[in-house]
Amino acid sequence: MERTLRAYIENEPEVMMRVTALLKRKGYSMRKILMEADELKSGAWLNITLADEGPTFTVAMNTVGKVVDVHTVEEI
Amino acid sequence: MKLSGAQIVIECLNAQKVETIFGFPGGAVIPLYDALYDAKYPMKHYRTCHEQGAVHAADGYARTTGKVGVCIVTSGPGATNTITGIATAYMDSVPLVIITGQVGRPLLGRDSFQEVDITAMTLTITKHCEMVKTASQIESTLMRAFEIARSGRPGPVLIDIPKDIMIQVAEYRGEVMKPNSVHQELDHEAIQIAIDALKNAKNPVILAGGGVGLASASNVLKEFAARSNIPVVNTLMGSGAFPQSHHLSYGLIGMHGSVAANSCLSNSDVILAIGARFSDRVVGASEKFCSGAKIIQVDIDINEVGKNKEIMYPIVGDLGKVLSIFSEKLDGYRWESRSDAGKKCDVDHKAKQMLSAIRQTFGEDAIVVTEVGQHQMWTAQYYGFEKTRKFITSGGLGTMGFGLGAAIGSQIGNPEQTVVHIAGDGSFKMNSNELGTVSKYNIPIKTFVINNNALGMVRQWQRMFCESRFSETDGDDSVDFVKLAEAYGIAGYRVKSQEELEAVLKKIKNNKSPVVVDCIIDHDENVYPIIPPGKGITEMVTAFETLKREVSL
Ligand SMILES: Cc1ncc(C[n+]2csc(CCOP(=O)(O)OP(=O)(O)O)c2C)c(N)n1
Ligand SMILES: [Mg+2]
Repeated sequence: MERTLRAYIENEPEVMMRVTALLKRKGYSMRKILMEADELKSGAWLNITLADEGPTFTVAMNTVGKVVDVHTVEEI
Repeated sequence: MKLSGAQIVIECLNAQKVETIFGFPGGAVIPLYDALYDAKYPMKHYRTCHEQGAVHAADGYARTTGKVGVCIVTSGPGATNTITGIATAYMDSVPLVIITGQVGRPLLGRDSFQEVDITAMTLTITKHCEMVKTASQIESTLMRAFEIARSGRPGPVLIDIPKDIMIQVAEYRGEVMKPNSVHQELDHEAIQIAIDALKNAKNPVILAGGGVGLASASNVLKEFAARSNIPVVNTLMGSGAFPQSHHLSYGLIGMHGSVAANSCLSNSDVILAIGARFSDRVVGASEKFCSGAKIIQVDIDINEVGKNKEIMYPIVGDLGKVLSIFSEKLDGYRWESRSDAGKKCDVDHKAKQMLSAIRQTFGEDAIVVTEVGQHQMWTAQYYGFEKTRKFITSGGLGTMGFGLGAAIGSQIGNPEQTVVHIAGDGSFKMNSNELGTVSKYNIPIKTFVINNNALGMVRQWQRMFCESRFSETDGDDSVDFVKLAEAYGIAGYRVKSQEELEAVLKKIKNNKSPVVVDCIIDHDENVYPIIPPGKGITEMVTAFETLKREVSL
């Protein structure tokens, strides 16, 4: 089953790169990645849909949550 | 106060009370070195011979002092030369701030001279990295870099600064940043459940990892172990987390752990792991690792708990705080002493005797820095570490060439202490250029090359797992280490026997100058015990046998 996490991040490509590189290294298979600038607050929304592979979804959430410049993570 | 970007960098380092900087200049950091020219005591810059050496030096400085190590290098090749050092620090959770120069902003993205995208390259080996975009951001970015490097689980942070920004003038605010102590709420319920599990244990054991030293939790650990009479084993990085001479210590576990330690661990029904990540070098075959035991894992980093091994009782939080709660709630609980069987190690060989003479000469307070290979494992097995921040080694990445740079940083950070550098001949050749730094600053490191004239560790594997087909692992005696030392103006000795070594040790014991001692040993000496990769910790091999070709090297 695919699951999607949604992170609020600094609007910098490096943050997205770090998040995706980490998930790749942990063996996740990413089905969809969407980063959208949030015009109002100078941040960005990053949605990533993961296939049911690799470690658990919770580990993915924790991994992403620990990245500097990732402010919040939730499942949607 | 209006300052140039470069001056702001120096002011930030001052504000962070940085006294020691390691680095190497170049085009993109000329403005920075120009500002550094005016830096005042106690700030001092040490120029190494190679940027890798600079990062290892900053790393050794950080590991032994507990402060953040700082390193400045230029763009392009200067920056790429830091990569191995950064990855080494990252794998062992060492706090560093690396400042790289970058080409000016108008030149970015044009394959300009000495331009590389260093932040992209170091994304997965830093805790954080970023390029500063304007001079006005330098202050906040750098101050935050230090905070990130040292807070929570420490790690290296890289800040890339384009050259034009270093010349731009901006306001330096000199604001003091509040340490952003991300206060981690402890899950008291989880702790209580774990404590209850421990209460019901028949044969519990404490597994101490590198996190104990990082969290400065070794005193709490000592007290808890002594009160509860629970035996302690340590990982490679946990060497010294608990005094190895203590009767409760069973010593090193893992691939080259002792029989006593590995059997103590596998005969336990509850394992309390403190700041240990259950790496493959500790666990061997994960499914065979202590399959009957309940595991409590305490770590500051939520991503560590359960990463390599299914954990029944995960606890995230500061190790010292959690251990204190254990200590308090288990007051009055005392377990029966475990058998001492197997603790007396009857292995004996030349390298072991040499290490023990070195240990006797310099004592338990010396800082011991190693390279990577058999000599590293022998040091971990036999040296006997009593305190944290004394055994400095590249455990996670296993970087040959780490030792000399790290010894330089350790000595500079601890001028009153003896720094012993235990090297292998192969590793020493990788960064022996740093003898130039040792000589230039007269850094009194005592280097002992445990010289088997071989890439011994790999050779041992070829002997055990490849029917002694020694492919490219035999040495060729191509370097005379005594003459090499002398070329740098450093005293060099060669010793072939224990007596010769002891005579040299007597001579150099109180020397305040560097020395290189080439200690000749046999190339067929192996590290035992060994748990072949992919095997369980009960399948330990204690003497030479040719084993089936390994697929999972
Ligand atoms: C940079 C690097 N390259 C290769 C290796 C693989 N490797 C691990 S131990 C070893 C042999 C080290 O030889 P030496 O320094 O002489 O130590 P010894 O094992 O002989 O004590 C090698 C090649 C490594 N760990 N690091
Ligand atoms: Mg060797």
